[in-house]
This record gives sequence, C-alpha cells and structure tokens, in this order.
Amino acid sequence: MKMILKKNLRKIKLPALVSLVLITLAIWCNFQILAAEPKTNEMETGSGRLVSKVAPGEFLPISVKLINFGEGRRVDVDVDYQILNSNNVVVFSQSETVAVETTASFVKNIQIPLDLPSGKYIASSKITYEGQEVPATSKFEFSVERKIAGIFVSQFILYGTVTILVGIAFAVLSRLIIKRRASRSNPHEYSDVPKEERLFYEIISDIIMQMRSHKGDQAIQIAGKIDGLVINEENGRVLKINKDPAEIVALLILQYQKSFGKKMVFSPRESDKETKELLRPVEKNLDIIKKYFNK
Amino acid sequence: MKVLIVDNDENTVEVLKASLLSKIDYEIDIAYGGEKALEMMKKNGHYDLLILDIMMPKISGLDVCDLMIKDEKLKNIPVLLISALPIASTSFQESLEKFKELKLIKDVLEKPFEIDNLVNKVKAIIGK
Repeated sequence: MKMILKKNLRKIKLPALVSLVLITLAIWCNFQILAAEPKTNEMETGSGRLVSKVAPGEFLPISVKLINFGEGRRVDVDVDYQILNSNNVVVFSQSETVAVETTASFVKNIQIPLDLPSGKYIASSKITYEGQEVPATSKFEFSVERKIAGIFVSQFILYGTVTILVGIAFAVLSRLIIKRRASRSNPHEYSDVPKEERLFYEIISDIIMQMRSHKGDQAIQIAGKIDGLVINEENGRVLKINKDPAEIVALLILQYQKSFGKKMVFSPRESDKETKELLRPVEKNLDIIKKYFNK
Repeated sequence: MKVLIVDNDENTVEVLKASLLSKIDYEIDIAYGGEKALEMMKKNGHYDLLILDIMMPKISGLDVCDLMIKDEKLKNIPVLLISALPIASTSFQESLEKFKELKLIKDVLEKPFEIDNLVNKVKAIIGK
C-alpha cells in the first residue's frame, strides 16, 4: 500500500514543480514589461504655500518641480511662465531654459508689474523640450492687491474699521463713565424746594451721593426702600419727602451703616443758626442710633 | 380701657387709631409728641397702654420712657414701642437690656406693620 502511494506522489510532484517555475517566470516577465514602459514626464507648480496674494512690484514665488526627465542624461527644458487675468488674457510672460537630469526642483520669483490692476490672476507654467510627446502645463490661482502703508488695501480697510469701531466704543464708554462720575460728584440743586424743606432734601441727597461714590448704585437701591422717601432711581435725586425728614435721615444713615459697615458723617451745605435749629431733631435721632443701634 | 397713641406723624397716628378701633372697643387718646404725651398722662390720669414712637422731634420715645420711670404716677404704664427703626432686631433688644427703659417696654412693633399684628400685641399687653 505504501509503495503505491509513493509512486503516485512522484507522479504528481513533477508537473506541479514545472507549473510553479512557469508561473514564477511569467510574473517576473510581467514586472520587466511594466518597468520597461516609458515614464510620463510631469511638471508641478504652485506658490509653495508661501503667498496667495501679492502687491504690484512684489515678487510672486513659483515653486517648480520637474519629474521624470533625462533618463540619466541632461535635457534642456524651456519653461514659459505666464500670468493671465480673469479674462484669460496674458498680462505677463517670461521664459527660461533649465537643464534637468531626471528631476529638478526650484523656486522662480516673478516680479508683478507695477501697473497690474487688483484682481484674481492665474500663474501658468508650460514646459517644452526636445523629443516631447505630451504637453505639460501647470497652473495655480493668486490675487493681486495694492498696499497702503505696507498693508493690503482689504486688510487696511478691515483693521481701520475695527480700530475706528473700538475707538468709538471706547470714546462712548469713557464719556458715559465721566458723565456718571460727574453725576455722582455734582450735588443736586433744590432751589425749587421751599427753604424750610430744602435743607433736608440737600442733606438726604448728599448722604446718598456720598455713599454712591463709595458703593455705587446699591446706595440708590437702599435709599429707594426707605419708607416716605421718593428718589430718582437713576441719579439719586430726592423727589419727595413724605414723612418726618429727621426720621428719614436717621433711617438712611442706619441702613447705610448696616449695609456697608461704614460710619456715616454728614454736614449741611450751610451752617447758620436757622440750619442748626432745624437739624436738632436729626441729631437727636442720630443719638438714638448711636446709643441703641451701634453695638 | 384707655390707650394713648404718641407719634409726631399724623398719618401713622390715624392708621394706628383706625386699626385699633376696627378691632377693639378702647378709648383712644392722641399726643403728637413726647412733651404732650407726658402732659396728658399727668393730667388725664391712668392709661392702660402707651403706644409710643421712638423718633420724635423734641423728646424721643425712649426719653419719654426715661422720664416716666422717674415719675411715681407714670412708672407702671406699659409701653408698646413702635418705630421704623429695626427695633425687633436682636441687636436692639440686647442693647435695650442695658437701659432702665426696658422696665416699661412690654413689646415692640416695627413700621410698617400689619393691623392684626398690632391688635394681637395690644391685646397681649392689656388683656382682652
């Protein structure tokens, strides 16, 4: 039985070996055929990601890469550079010859004419060489824009607009702050209030203003909650006193002292005998606060 | 029962009077200042309750208490102290403990107040 199997294996092995050799030869030959195919000569151009916008008079760098030339020998290649406008009209052209051995890579700087109007342009490069079979061209788009003070016009307008807007905002804000500060430091006038009541309007108003300069609009909010006192919630001006003014002064001072932990002092705008007499109830109430509410 | 309301503010006096009369049938007198209150108490005799404001122009409510303590006829009149000042606060209560006025002050009521709160305090002090 073993003998029969050995004979059969020998019979199968020989044709398989021959087939394997033939397949290997075929694959090797195919590679040789592919490798022997003529290479396509290529050209690549671009701005080399250096610039996409230039001003007239500036240099536009064109990165050129020539591939698969020469097959081991030097070949003279004519390169034509052209700049075309949006209507595909050539506005600039230049040529040069470069010697290429298989591959060449270089950067060509083209000076943009000073009289070239702003707009979108195409930089086109074309190669010509002896024995050329297929034409090779390469293009990329760029734009030309004039500069003001070293900045492109569009950027100049953008930066200028932003600067002007920031300036206007700053000026408006400054004016508001100055106006607000002025309103806080300028005492309100009460010449329209009868003389016997005016003193209390002035004192209450000055207390609010004094506290507002330290603590801001919270001072107005606190004053607005005092029963019997009506004030302008924007500027703290006293509009009406509906209760005993001496009581309102005391309540206001107590509220401020409690809220801000700051001792309040006030002085009337005038210090004549009549004023002192009118202020006596206020002083009395402040004595009560001092005695019973200042722990 | 006789109650004396003492406050320099006419509106407050009217509110106090109307509030009490709407709920309790008491005899109510009014004084628009500390001096007048002392004078009325001495002249009219016994009051069952003094509803007394603190901040008044010439003599404050607490000064009235001080003077009442010194007077044999007035030193037993109970006082309900009222004020827009934070008299219900702990700091005022603690502060008041240091002074003899506390002997008279039976309760305190902060302005603005609710009528029911006022009536309840009055009833609690002088009885129904």
